[in-house]
Amino acid sequence: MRARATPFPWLGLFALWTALAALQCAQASSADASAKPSAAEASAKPLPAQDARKWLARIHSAAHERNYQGTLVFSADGALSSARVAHFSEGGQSYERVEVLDGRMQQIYRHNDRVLTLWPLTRVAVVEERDPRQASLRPVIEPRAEEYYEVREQATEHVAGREAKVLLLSPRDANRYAQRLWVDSRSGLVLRADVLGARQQVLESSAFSQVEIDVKPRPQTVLQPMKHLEGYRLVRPAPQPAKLDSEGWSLGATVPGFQLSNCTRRPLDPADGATSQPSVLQAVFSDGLTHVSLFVEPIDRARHTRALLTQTGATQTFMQSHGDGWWVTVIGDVPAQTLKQFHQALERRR
Amino acid sequence: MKNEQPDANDPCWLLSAMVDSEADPADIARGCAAWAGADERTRQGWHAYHLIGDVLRSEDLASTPAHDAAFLQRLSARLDREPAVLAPTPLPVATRRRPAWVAPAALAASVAALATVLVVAIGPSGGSGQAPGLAAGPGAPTQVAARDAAAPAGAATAVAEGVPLGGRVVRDAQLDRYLRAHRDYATAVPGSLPGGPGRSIATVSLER
Repeated sequence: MRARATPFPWLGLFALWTALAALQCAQASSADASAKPSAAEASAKPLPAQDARKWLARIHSAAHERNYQGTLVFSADGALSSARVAHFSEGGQSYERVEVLDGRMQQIYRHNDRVLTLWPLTRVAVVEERDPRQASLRPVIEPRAEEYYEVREQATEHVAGREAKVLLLSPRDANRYAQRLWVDSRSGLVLRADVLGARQQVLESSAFSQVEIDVKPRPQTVLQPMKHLEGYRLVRPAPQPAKLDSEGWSLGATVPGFQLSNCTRRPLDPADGATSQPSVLQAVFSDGLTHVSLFVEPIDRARHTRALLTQTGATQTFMQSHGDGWWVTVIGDVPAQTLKQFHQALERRR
Repeated sequence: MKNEQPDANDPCWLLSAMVDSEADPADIARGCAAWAGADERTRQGWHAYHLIGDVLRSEDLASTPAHDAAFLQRLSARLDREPAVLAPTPLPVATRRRPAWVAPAALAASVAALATVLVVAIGPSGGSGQAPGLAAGPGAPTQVAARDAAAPAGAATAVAEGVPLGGRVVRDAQLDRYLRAHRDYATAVPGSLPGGPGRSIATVSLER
Protein backbone atom coordinates (compact mmCIF):
# COMPACT_ATOMS: atom_id res chain seq x y z
CA MET A 1 0.00 0.00 0.00
CA ARG A 2 2.71 2.37 1.07
CA ALA A 3 4.82 1.54 -1.97
CA ARG A 4 1.91 2.32 -4.30
CA ALA A 5 1.21 5.60 -2.57
CA THR A 6 4.69 6.98 -3.19
CA PRO A 7 4.24 7.83 -6.92
CA PHE A 8 1.41 10.22 -6.13
CA PRO A 9 3.55 13.22 -5.14
CA TRP A 10 5.10 12.97 -8.60
CA LEU A 11 1.77 12.95 -10.34
CA GLY A 12 1.54 16.73 -10.36
CA LEU A 13 4.93 17.02 -12.02
CA PHE A 14 3.98 14.35 -14.59
CA ALA A 15 0.75 16.17 -15.34
CA LEU A 16 2.61 19.44 -15.83
CA TRP A 17 5.08 17.70 -18.09
CA THR A 18 2.29 16.11 -20.10
CA ALA A 19 0.53 19.42 -20.54
CA LEU A 20 3.73 21.15 -21.65
CA ALA A 21 4.62 18.40 -24.09
CA ALA A 22 1.12 18.30 -25.52
CA LEU A 23 1.25 22.07 -26.05
CA GLN A 24 4.58 21.74 -27.81
CA CYS A 25 3.32 18.93 -30.04
CA ALA A 26 0.30 21.00 -30.97
CA GLN A 27 2.56 23.90 -31.89
CA ALA A 28 4.83 21.67 -33.92
CA SER A 29 1.96 20.18 -35.87
CA SER A 30 0.42 23.57 -36.58
CA ALA A 31 3.82 24.72 -37.82
CA ASP A 32 3.93 21.70 -40.12
CA ALA A 33 0.49 22.49 -41.42
CA SER A 34 1.42 26.07 -42.23
CA ALA A 35 4.66 24.98 -43.90
CA LYS A 36 2.81 22.46 -46.06
CA PRO A 37 -0.45 23.99 -47.25
CA SER A 38 -1.09 20.89 -49.33
CA ALA A 39 -1.65 18.87 -46.17
CA ALA A 40 -5.03 20.53 -45.71
CA GLU A 41 -5.89 20.17 -49.35
CA ALA A 42 -4.92 16.52 -49.37
CA SER A 43 -8.13 15.93 -47.47
CA ALA A 44 -10.10 17.58 -50.29
CA LYS A 45 -12.48 15.24 -52.03
CA PRO A 46 -11.08 13.23 -54.93
CA LEU A 47 -12.35 14.20 -58.36
CA PRO A 48 -15.19 12.18 -59.87
CA ALA A 49 -13.92 9.44 -62.17
CA GLN A 50 -14.97 11.30 -65.29
CA ASP A 51 -13.02 14.46 -64.38
CA ALA A 52 -10.00 12.46 -63.32
CA ARG A 53 -9.97 10.61 -66.64
CA LYS A 54 -10.22 13.92 -68.48
CA TRP A 55 -7.11 15.21 -66.68
CA LEU A 56 -5.15 12.03 -67.48
CA ALA A 57 -6.20 12.14 -71.14
CA ARG A 58 -5.25 15.81 -71.35
CA ILE A 59 -1.80 15.17 -69.85
CA HIS A 60 -1.23 12.33 -72.28
CA SER A 61 -2.27 14.20 -75.39
CA ALA A 62 -0.35 17.37 -74.46
CA ALA A 63 2.88 15.38 -74.10
CA HIS A 64 2.36 13.77 -77.50
CA GLU A 65 0.85 16.53 -79.58
CA ARG A 66 2.42 19.77 -78.38
CA ASN A 67 5.68 21.24 -79.64
CA TYR A 68 7.95 22.09 -76.76
CA GLN A 69 11.57 22.28 -75.70
CA GLY A 70 13.27 22.94 -72.42
CA THR A 71 15.58 21.70 -69.72
CA LEU A 72 14.38 18.90 -67.52
CA VAL A 73 16.02 18.53 -64.11
CA PHE A 74 15.89 15.17 -62.40
CA SER A 75 16.66 14.64 -58.75
CA ALA A 76 16.77 11.46 -56.69
CA ASP A 77 18.65 10.47 -53.54
CA GLY A 78 20.30 13.87 -53.40
CA ALA A 79 21.81 13.45 -56.86
CA LEU A 80 20.89 15.88 -59.60
CA SER A 81 21.02 15.54 -63.36
CA SER A 82 19.56 17.50 -66.20
CA ALA A 83 18.55 16.87 -69.78
CA ARG A 84 17.70 19.02 -72.76
CA VAL A 85 14.36 17.87 -74.11
CA ALA A 86 12.62 18.77 -77.35
CA HIS A 87 9.43 17.33 -78.75
CA PHE A 88 7.91 18.15 -82.13
CA SER A 89 4.75 16.86 -83.66
CA GLU A 90 4.12 17.76 -87.26
CA GLY A 91 1.98 16.22 -89.97
CA GLY A 92 1.26 13.10 -87.93
CA GLN A 93 4.99 12.51 -87.40
CA SER A 94 6.57 12.67 -83.99
CA TYR A 95 10.13 13.76 -83.19
CA GLU A 96 11.88 13.66 -79.85
CA ARG A 97 15.31 14.64 -78.59
CA VAL A 98 16.57 13.99 -75.07
CA GLU A 99 20.16 14.87 -74.28
CA VAL A 100 21.24 13.95 -70.79
CA LEU A 101 23.87 16.48 -69.79
CA ASP A 102 25.48 14.62 -66.90
CA GLY A 103 27.08 11.29 -66.19
CA ARG A 104 27.36 9.23 -69.33
CA MET A 105 25.71 11.96 -71.42
CA GLN A 106 23.25 9.58 -73.01
CA GLN A 107 21.43 11.07 -76.02
CA ILE A 108 18.13 9.76 -77.31
CA TYR A 109 16.72 10.73 -80.72
CA ARG A 110 13.38 9.39 -81.80
CA HIS A 111 11.48 9.65 -85.04
CA ASN A 112 8.14 7.85 -84.67
CA ASP A 113 9.14 4.28 -83.79
CA ARG A 114 12.81 4.58 -84.64
CA VAL A 115 14.87 5.23 -81.54
CA LEU A 116 18.57 6.03 -81.62
CA THR A 117 20.47 6.05 -78.33
CA LEU A 118 23.98 7.48 -78.39
CA TRP A 119 26.62 6.99 -75.72
CA PRO A 120 29.13 9.65 -76.77
CA LEU A 121 31.76 8.74 -74.18
CA THR A 122 32.06 5.17 -75.43
CA ARG A 123 31.02 5.93 -79.01
CA VAL A 124 28.24 3.35 -79.05
CA ALA A 125 25.05 3.91 -81.02
CA VAL A 126 22.04 1.71 -80.38
CA VAL A 127 19.39 1.71 -83.10
CA GLU A 128 15.97 0.32 -82.29
CA GLU A 129 13.19 -0.07 -84.77
CA ARG A 130 10.12 -0.68 -82.72
CA ASP A 131 7.54 -2.99 -84.08
CA PRO A 132 4.76 -0.70 -85.35
CA ARG A 133 2.25 -3.25 -84.11
CA GLN A 134 3.55 -2.59 -80.62
CA ALA A 135 3.36 1.16 -80.93
CA SER A 136 0.15 1.23 -78.98
CA LEU A 137 1.76 -0.78 -76.19
CA ARG A 138 4.07 1.98 -75.09
CA PRO A 139 4.02 2.99 -71.47
CA VAL A 140 1.73 5.97 -71.44
CA ILE A 141 -0.56 7.67 -69.02
CA GLU A 142 -3.85 5.91 -69.53
CA PRO A 143 -7.22 7.11 -68.28
CA ARG A 144 -7.72 3.71 -66.66
CA ALA A 145 -5.11 4.74 -64.07
CA GLU A 146 -8.03 6.48 -62.40
CA GLU A 147 -9.22 3.07 -61.19
CA TYR A 148 -6.07 2.69 -59.08
CA TYR A 149 -5.35 6.30 -58.14
CA GLU A 150 -7.55 8.99 -56.63
CA VAL A 151 -7.01 12.33 -58.34
CA ARG A 152 -7.27 15.51 -56.31
CA GLU A 153 -6.86 19.05 -57.50
CA GLN A 154 -4.64 21.07 -55.23
CA ALA A 155 -3.26 24.59 -55.33
CA THR A 156 -2.17 26.53 -58.37
CA GLU A 157 1.58 27.12 -58.36
CA HIS A 158 4.28 28.31 -60.72
CA VAL A 159 6.87 26.07 -62.36
CA ALA A 160 9.48 27.37 -64.81
CA GLY A 161 7.62 30.66 -64.88
CA ARG A 162 4.33 29.10 -65.92
CA GLU A 163 1.10 28.68 -64.04
CA ALA A 164 0.49 25.06 -63.13
CA LYS A 165 -2.35 23.16 -61.52
CA VAL A 166 -1.14 20.71 -58.88
CA LEU A 167 -2.71 17.27 -59.09
CA LEU A 168 -2.21 14.66 -56.39
CA LEU A 169 -2.59 11.10 -57.62
CA SER A 170 -2.81 8.95 -54.50
CA PRO A 171 -2.97 5.16 -54.84
CA ARG A 172 -6.12 3.37 -53.79
CA ASP A 173 -4.04 0.49 -52.40
CA ALA A 174 -0.52 -0.08 -51.09
CA ASN A 175 0.75 -1.54 -54.36
CA ARG A 176 1.95 1.75 -55.87
CA TYR A 177 3.36 5.14 -55.03
CA ALA A 178 1.57 8.47 -55.08
CA GLN A 179 2.56 11.07 -57.66
CA ARG A 180 2.16 14.80 -57.54
CA LEU A 181 1.96 16.42 -60.96
CA TRP A 182 2.23 20.09 -61.84
CA VAL A 183 0.24 20.46 -65.04
CA ASP A 184 0.58 23.55 -67.22
CA SER A 185 -2.76 25.36 -67.04
CA ARG A 186 -2.75 26.37 -70.68
CA SER A 187 -1.33 23.35 -72.48
CA GLY A 188 -1.77 20.41 -70.12
CA LEU A 189 1.94 19.58 -70.29
CA VAL A 190 3.43 18.11 -67.12
CA LEU A 191 5.96 20.66 -65.88
CA ARG A 192 6.98 18.80 -62.76
CA ALA A 193 6.37 15.32 -61.38
CA ASP A 194 7.20 14.03 -57.90
CA VAL A 195 6.98 10.41 -56.85
CA LEU A 196 5.96 10.17 -53.21
CA GLY A 197 6.63 7.37 -50.73
CA ALA A 198 4.27 5.95 -48.15
CA ARG A 199 4.88 8.90 -45.80
CA GLN A 200 4.42 11.44 -48.60
CA GLN A 201 8.16 11.97 -48.74
CA VAL A 202 9.56 12.82 -52.18
CA LEU A 203 11.44 9.82 -53.58
CA GLU A 204 12.36 11.52 -56.83
CA SER A 205 11.40 14.57 -58.75
CA SER A 206 11.66 15.74 -62.34
CA ALA A 207 10.84 19.26 -63.40
CA PHE A 208 11.35 21.67 -66.25
CA SER A 209 13.64 24.43 -65.04
CA GLN A 210 13.00 26.21 -68.31
CA VAL A 211 10.47 25.37 -71.03
CA GLU A 212 8.98 26.85 -74.18
CA ILE A 213 5.65 25.45 -75.26
CA ASP A 214 4.07 25.69 -78.72
CA VAL A 215 7.39 26.43 -80.40
CA LYS A 216 7.87 26.13 -84.14
CA PRO A 217 8.62 22.45 -84.89
CA ARG A 218 12.17 21.85 -86.08
CA PRO A 219 12.30 18.15 -87.00
CA GLN A 220 15.71 18.57 -88.63
CA THR A 221 17.32 19.09 -85.23
CA VAL A 222 16.26 15.51 -84.48
CA LEU A 223 16.79 13.95 -87.90
CA GLN A 224 20.26 15.39 -88.56
CA PRO A 225 22.00 13.77 -85.56
CA MET A 226 20.32 10.48 -86.51
CA LYS A 227 22.20 10.48 -89.79
CA HIS A 228 25.66 11.45 -88.64
CA LEU A 229 27.02 8.45 -86.85
CA GLU A 230 30.67 8.54 -87.98
CA GLY A 231 32.96 7.09 -85.36
CA TYR A 232 30.14 5.29 -83.61
CA ARG A 233 29.89 1.56 -83.24
CA LEU A 234 26.42 0.67 -84.41
CA VAL A 235 24.43 -1.87 -82.41
CA ARG A 236 21.08 -3.14 -83.60
CA PRO A 237 19.45 -5.23 -80.92
CA ALA A 238 16.52 -7.23 -82.15
CA PRO A 239 14.23 -8.00 -79.27
CA GLN A 240 12.07 -10.96 -80.21
CA PRO A 241 8.39 -10.78 -79.37
CA ALA A 242 7.66 -13.47 -76.82
CA LYS A 243 4.84 -14.80 -74.73
CA LEU A 244 5.02 -15.77 -71.10
CA ASP A 245 2.98 -18.93 -71.56
CA SER A 246 4.85 -20.17 -74.62
CA GLU A 247 8.05 -19.67 -72.60
CA GLY A 248 6.57 -21.94 -69.96
CA TRP A 249 5.55 -19.31 -67.42
CA SER A 250 2.30 -18.09 -66.01
CA LEU A 251 1.32 -15.51 -63.44
CA GLY A 252 -1.00 -16.80 -60.76
CA ALA A 253 -2.57 -14.03 -58.72
CA THR A 254 -1.46 -10.88 -60.52
CA VAL A 255 -1.03 -7.57 -58.75
CA PRO A 256 -4.28 -5.57 -59.02
CA GLY A 257 -4.24 -3.06 -61.86
CA PHE A 258 -1.07 -4.23 -63.57
CA GLN A 259 -1.68 -5.50 -67.09
CA LEU A 260 0.88 -7.11 -69.33
CA SER A 261 1.80 -4.51 -71.93
CA ASN A 262 4.85 -6.03 -73.59
CA CYS A 263 6.87 -9.23 -73.56
CA THR A 264 10.15 -9.77 -75.40
CA ARG A 265 13.23 -11.92 -75.39
CA ARG A 266 16.24 -9.63 -75.55
CA PRO A 267 19.91 -9.24 -74.66
CA LEU A 268 20.11 -7.48 -71.32
CA ASP A 269 22.50 -4.79 -72.42
CA PRO A 270 22.49 -4.28 -76.21
CA ALA A 271 25.15 -1.57 -76.01
CA ASP A 272 27.57 -4.12 -74.59
CA GLY A 273 27.79 -5.49 -78.10
CA ALA A 274 28.79 -8.97 -77.05
CA THR A 275 26.79 -11.27 -79.30
CA SER A 276 27.30 -14.17 -76.95
CA GLN A 277 25.32 -12.35 -74.29
CA PRO A 278 22.60 -14.59 -72.94
CA SER A 279 19.12 -13.32 -73.56
CA VAL A 280 16.53 -12.65 -70.91
CA LEU A 281 12.77 -12.72 -71.00
CA GLN A 282 11.37 -9.28 -70.15
CA ALA A 283 7.68 -8.82 -69.40
CA VAL A 284 6.45 -5.28 -68.80
CA PHE A 285 3.32 -4.56 -66.79
CA SER A 286 1.57 -1.21 -66.51
CA ASP A 287 -1.17 0.15 -64.29
CA GLY A 288 -1.74 3.11 -66.60
CA LEU A 289 0.70 5.37 -64.79
CA THR A 290 3.79 3.39 -63.86
CA HIS A 291 5.36 0.20 -65.16
CA VAL A 292 7.10 -2.85 -63.73
CA SER A 293 9.61 -5.04 -65.57
CA LEU A 294 9.92 -8.74 -64.81
CA PHE A 295 13.12 -10.39 -66.06
CA VAL A 296 13.47 -14.17 -66.16
CA GLU A 297 16.62 -16.07 -67.12
CA PRO A 298 18.33 -19.36 -66.35
CA ILE A 299 20.33 -19.03 -63.16
CA ASP A 300 24.03 -18.37 -63.62
CA ARG A 301 25.78 -19.23 -60.36
CA ALA A 302 28.69 -16.94 -61.19
CA ARG A 303 26.55 -13.83 -61.62
CA HIS A 304 23.46 -14.61 -59.56
CA THR A 305 24.93 -15.07 -56.17
CA ARG A 306 22.69 -13.18 -53.79
CA ALA A 307 19.05 -12.28 -53.41
CA LEU A 308 18.84 -8.49 -53.35
CA LEU A 309 16.45 -5.69 -52.58
CA THR A 310 17.50 -2.14 -53.29
CA GLN A 311 16.14 1.25 -54.22
CA THR A 312 17.36 4.10 -56.41
CA GLY A 313 15.15 7.15 -56.28
CA ALA A 314 11.66 5.72 -56.65
CA THR A 315 12.87 2.63 -58.48
CA GLN A 316 12.98 -0.57 -56.47
CA THR A 317 14.82 -3.69 -57.56
CA PHE A 318 14.18 -7.16 -56.20
CA MET A 319 16.10 -10.19 -57.41
CA GLN A 320 15.90 -13.73 -56.19
CA SER A 321 16.15 -17.27 -57.48
CA HIS A 322 12.98 -19.00 -58.63
CA GLY A 323 12.83 -22.74 -58.13
CA ASP A 324 16.13 -24.46 -58.79
CA GLY A 325 17.15 -23.20 -62.17
CA TRP A 326 15.85 -19.65 -62.63
CA TRP A 327 16.75 -16.14 -61.66
CA VAL A 328 14.01 -13.52 -61.48
CA THR A 329 14.55 -9.76 -61.31
CA VAL A 330 11.65 -7.38 -60.81
CA ILE A 331 12.09 -3.61 -61.22
CA GLY A 332 9.60 -0.81 -60.96
CA ASP A 333 8.66 2.48 -59.33
CA VAL A 334 6.52 0.66 -56.80
CA PRO A 335 6.93 -0.44 -53.17
CA ALA A 336 9.11 -3.51 -52.59
CA GLN A 337 6.07 -5.50 -51.52
CA THR A 338 4.58 -5.16 -55.00
CA LEU A 339 7.73 -6.53 -56.61
CA LYS A 340 7.66 -9.48 -54.24
CA GLN A 341 4.07 -10.16 -55.25
CA PHE A 342 5.15 -10.40 -58.88
CA HIS A 343 7.92 -12.78 -57.90
CA GLN A 344 5.52 -14.94 -55.91
CA ALA A 345 2.85 -14.94 -58.62
CA LEU A 346 5.25 -16.30 -61.21
CA GLU A 347 4.81 -20.02 -61.80
CA ARG A 348 6.80 -22.45 -63.89
CA ARG A 349 4.42 -24.63 -65.86
CA ARG A 350 6.79 -27.10 -67.40
CA MET B 1 62.66 -29.33 -15.67
CA LYS B 2 63.57 -28.06 -19.06
CA ASN B 3 61.63 -24.99 -20.05
CA GLU B 4 59.83 -25.91 -23.28
CA GLN B 5 60.61 -23.49 -26.04
CA PRO B 6 57.26 -22.61 -27.66
CA ASP B 7 57.06 -22.77 -31.42
CA ALA B 8 55.58 -19.40 -32.41
CA ASN B 9 54.24 -20.92 -35.61
CA ASP B 10 52.39 -23.73 -33.90
CA PRO B 11 48.73 -22.73 -34.28
CA CYS B 12 47.80 -24.48 -31.07
CA TRP B 13 50.40 -22.54 -29.16
CA LEU B 14 49.07 -19.33 -30.78
CA LEU B 15 45.53 -20.13 -29.76
CA SER B 16 46.64 -21.01 -26.27
CA ALA B 17 48.48 -17.70 -26.03
CA MET B 18 45.38 -15.88 -27.30
CA VAL B 19 43.15 -17.58 -24.74
CA ASP B 20 45.60 -16.63 -22.01
CA SER B 21 45.87 -13.03 -23.28
CA GLU B 22 49.59 -13.47 -23.87
CA ALA B 23 49.58 -13.08 -27.66
CA ASP B 24 50.79 -9.87 -29.29
CA PRO B 25 48.82 -8.43 -32.25
CA ALA B 26 50.96 -10.29 -34.80
CA ASP B 27 50.36 -13.58 -32.98
CA ILE B 28 46.64 -12.87 -32.88
CA ALA B 29 46.56 -12.21 -36.61
CA ARG B 30 48.40 -15.44 -37.35
CA GLY B 31 46.25 -17.37 -34.92
CA CYS B 32 43.05 -16.10 -36.50
CA ALA B 33 44.38 -16.85 -39.97
CA ALA B 34 45.22 -20.39 -38.94
CA TRP B 35 41.75 -20.88 -37.47
CA ALA B 36 40.00 -19.34 -40.49
CA GLY B 37 42.06 -21.61 -42.73
CA ALA B 38 39.98 -24.46 -41.35
CA ASP B 39 43.03 -26.45 -40.35
CA GLU B 40 41.48 -29.45 -38.67
CA ARG B 41 44.14 -29.68 -35.95
CA THR B 42 43.81 -26.02 -35.05
CA ARG B 43 40.06 -26.27 -34.78
CA GLN B 44 40.35 -29.32 -32.62
CA GLY B 45 42.85 -27.55 -30.43
CA TRP B 46 40.65 -24.48 -30.12
CA HIS B 47 37.68 -26.67 -29.35
CA ALA B 48 39.65 -28.69 -26.81
CA TYR B 49 40.68 -25.57 -24.88
CA HIS B 50 37.09 -24.44 -24.65
CA LEU B 51 35.84 -27.92 -23.92
CA ILE B 52 38.18 -28.10 -20.93
CA GLY B 53 36.74 -24.85 -19.61
CA ASP B 54 33.18 -25.90 -20.38
CA VAL B 55 33.43 -29.28 -18.73
CA LEU B 56 34.99 -27.71 -15.66
CA ARG B 57 31.79 -25.66 -15.37
CA SER B 58 29.25 -28.28 -16.42
CA GLU B 59 29.36 -31.61 -18.22
CA ASP B 60 26.24 -30.63 -20.12
CA LEU B 61 28.30 -28.17 -22.15
CA ALA B 62 30.49 -30.88 -23.69
CA SER B 63 30.13 -31.26 -27.46
CA THR B 64 32.07 -32.54 -30.47
CA PRO B 65 34.09 -30.22 -32.76
CA ALA B 66 31.74 -31.12 -35.63
CA HIS B 67 28.91 -29.49 -33.69
CA ASP B 68 30.39 -25.99 -34.11
CA ALA B 69 31.31 -26.51 -37.74
CA ALA B 70 27.83 -27.80 -38.57
CA PHE B 71 26.25 -24.80 -36.84
CA LEU B 72 28.45 -22.36 -38.76
CA GLN B 73 27.63 -24.06 -42.04
CA ARG B 74 23.90 -23.96 -41.36
CA LEU B 75 24.13 -20.29 -40.34
CA SER B 76 26.09 -19.29 -43.41
CA ALA B 77 23.69 -21.22 -45.68
CA ARG B 78 20.74 -19.42 -44.09
CA LEU B 79 22.51 -16.05 -44.46
CA ASP B 80 23.13 -16.76 -48.13
CA ARG B 81 19.43 -17.22 -48.71
CA GLU B 82 18.52 -13.91 -47.07
CA PRO B 83 17.98 -11.01 -49.50
CA ALA B 84 20.71 -8.41 -48.98
CA VAL B 85 19.29 -5.02 -48.12
CA LEU B 86 21.90 -2.46 -49.06
CA ALA B 87 22.80 0.13 -46.44
CA PRO B 88 20.64 3.23 -46.59
CA THR B 89 22.04 6.72 -46.96
CA PRO B 90 20.46 9.38 -44.78
CA LEU B 91 17.26 10.83 -46.11
CA PRO B 92 18.09 14.22 -47.62
CA VAL B 93 14.64 15.73 -47.24
CA ALA B 94 11.45 14.73 -45.50
CA THR B 95 12.29 14.83 -41.78
CA ARG B 96 10.54 17.67 -40.03
CA ARG B 97 12.60 20.14 -38.13
CA ARG B 98 11.70 20.35 -34.52
CA PRO B 99 13.59 21.62 -31.52
CA ALA B 100 15.84 18.86 -30.23
CA TRP B 101 14.04 18.72 -26.90
CA VAL B 102 10.63 17.94 -28.40
CA ALA B 103 11.33 14.22 -28.76
CA PRO B 104 12.42 13.76 -25.15
CA ALA B 105 9.46 15.88 -24.07
CA ALA B 106 7.07 13.73 -26.11
CA LEU B 107 8.68 10.64 -24.64
CA ALA B 108 8.29 12.10 -21.19
CA ALA B 109 4.67 12.85 -22.01
CA SER B 110 4.00 9.27 -23.04
CA VAL B 111 5.79 8.00 -19.95
CA ALA B 112 3.65 10.36 -17.91
CA ALA B 113 0.54 9.19 -19.71
CA LEU B 114 1.51 5.57 -19.12
CA ALA B 115 2.21 6.32 -15.50
CA THR B 116 -1.17 8.01 -15.23
CA VAL B 117 -2.88 4.98 -16.75
CA LEU B 118 -1.00 2.70 -14.38
CA VAL B 119 -1.71 4.82 -11.36
CA VAL B 120 -5.36 5.28 -12.28
CA ALA B 121 -5.80 1.60 -13.11
CA ILE B 122 -3.89 0.18 -10.19
CA GLY B 123 -4.65 2.86 -7.66
CA PRO B 124 -8.30 2.17 -6.89
CA SER B 125 -8.04 -1.62 -7.21
CA GLY B 126 -4.96 -1.69 -5.02
CA GLY B 127 -6.51 0.76 -2.61
CA SER B 128 -9.80 -1.05 -2.22
CA GLY B 129 -8.46 -4.57 -2.55
CA GLN B 130 -12.04 -5.62 -3.33
CA ALA B 131 -13.45 -7.97 -5.93
CA PRO B 132 -14.41 -5.17 -8.43
CA GLY B 133 -10.75 -4.19 -8.35
CA LEU B 134 -9.80 -7.64 -9.61
CA ALA B 135 -12.08 -7.15 -12.60
CA ALA B 136 -10.34 -3.88 -13.43
CA GLY B 137 -6.92 -5.37 -12.81
CA PRO B 138 -6.56 -7.52 -15.95
CA GLY B 139 -7.89 -4.65 -18.05
CA ALA B 140 -5.13 -2.31 -17.04
CA PRO B 141 -2.11 -4.28 -18.28
CA THR B 142 -3.68 -4.88 -21.70
CA GLN B 143 -4.37 -1.20 -22.09
CA VAL B 144 -0.79 -0.42 -21.20
CA ALA B 145 0.48 -3.17 -23.45
CA ALA B 146 -1.53 -1.80 -26.37
CA ARG B 147 -0.08 1.67 -25.96
CA ASP B 148 3.34 0.21 -25.52
CA ALA B 149 3.06 -1.87 -28.66
CA ALA B 150 1.64 0.92 -30.79
CA ALA B 151 4.46 3.40 -30.33
CA PRO B 152 7.48 1.25 -31.29
CA ALA B 153 5.62 -0.33 -34.20
CA GLY B 154 4.89 3.09 -35.65
CA ALA B 155 8.48 4.14 -35.18
CA ALA B 156 9.78 0.98 -36.85
CA THR B 157 7.69 1.37 -40.02
CA ALA B 158 8.67 5.02 -40.22
CA VAL B 159 12.31 3.98 -40.50
CA ALA B 160 11.91 0.92 -42.70
CA GLU B 161 9.36 2.18 -45.20
CA GLY B 162 10.52 3.90 -48.33
CA VAL B 163 13.91 5.11 -47.19
CA PRO B 164 15.77 5.69 -50.46
CA LEU B 165 18.98 3.76 -50.71
CA GLY B 166 21.52 6.09 -52.24
CA GLY B 167 21.94 5.29 -55.91
CA ARG B 168 25.61 6.00 -55.68
CA VAL B 169 26.03 3.40 -53.00
CA VAL B 170 24.99 0.74 -55.48
CA ARG B 171 28.18 -0.17 -57.27
CA ASP B 172 26.88 -3.12 -59.14
CA ALA B 173 27.24 -3.27 -62.90
CA GLN B 174 24.93 -6.24 -63.00
CA LEU B 175 22.12 -4.33 -61.31
CA ASP B 176 22.67 -1.33 -63.55
CA ARG B 177 22.02 -3.40 -66.67
CA TYR B 178 18.61 -4.47 -65.45
CA LEU B 179 17.79 -0.91 -64.50
CA ARG B 180 18.76 0.33 -67.94
CA ALA B 181 16.78 -2.43 -69.64
CA HIS B 182 13.78 -1.47 -67.52
CA ARG B 183 14.08 2.17 -68.51
CA ASP B 184 14.77 1.36 -72.17
CA TYR B 185 11.11 0.72 -72.39
CA ALA B 186 10.40 4.36 -71.61
CA THR B 187 12.59 5.79 -74.37
CA ALA B 188 9.65 5.78 -76.76
CA VAL B 189 7.54 8.16 -74.70
CA PRO B 190 7.78 11.95 -74.68
CA GLY B 191 10.47 13.16 -72.33
CA SER B 192 8.03 15.33 -70.47
CA LEU B 193 5.86 12.47 -69.21
CA PRO B 194 6.43 11.24 -65.67
CA GLY B 195 8.74 8.27 -65.85
CA GLY B 196 9.91 9.37 -69.30
CA PRO B 197 13.43 9.18 -70.68
CA GLY B 198 14.60 12.36 -68.98
CA ARG B 199 15.24 10.32 -65.86
CA SER B 200 18.93 9.77 -65.82
CA ILE B 201 20.36 6.69 -64.24
CA ALA B 202 23.65 8.51 -63.81
CA THR B 203 23.06 8.09 -60.09
CA VAL B 204 23.99 4.46 -60.51
CA SER B 205 27.66 4.14 -61.15
CA LEU B 206 28.67 2.05 -64.09
CA GLU B 207 31.09 3.39 -66.59
CA ARG B 208 31.38 1.33 -69.67
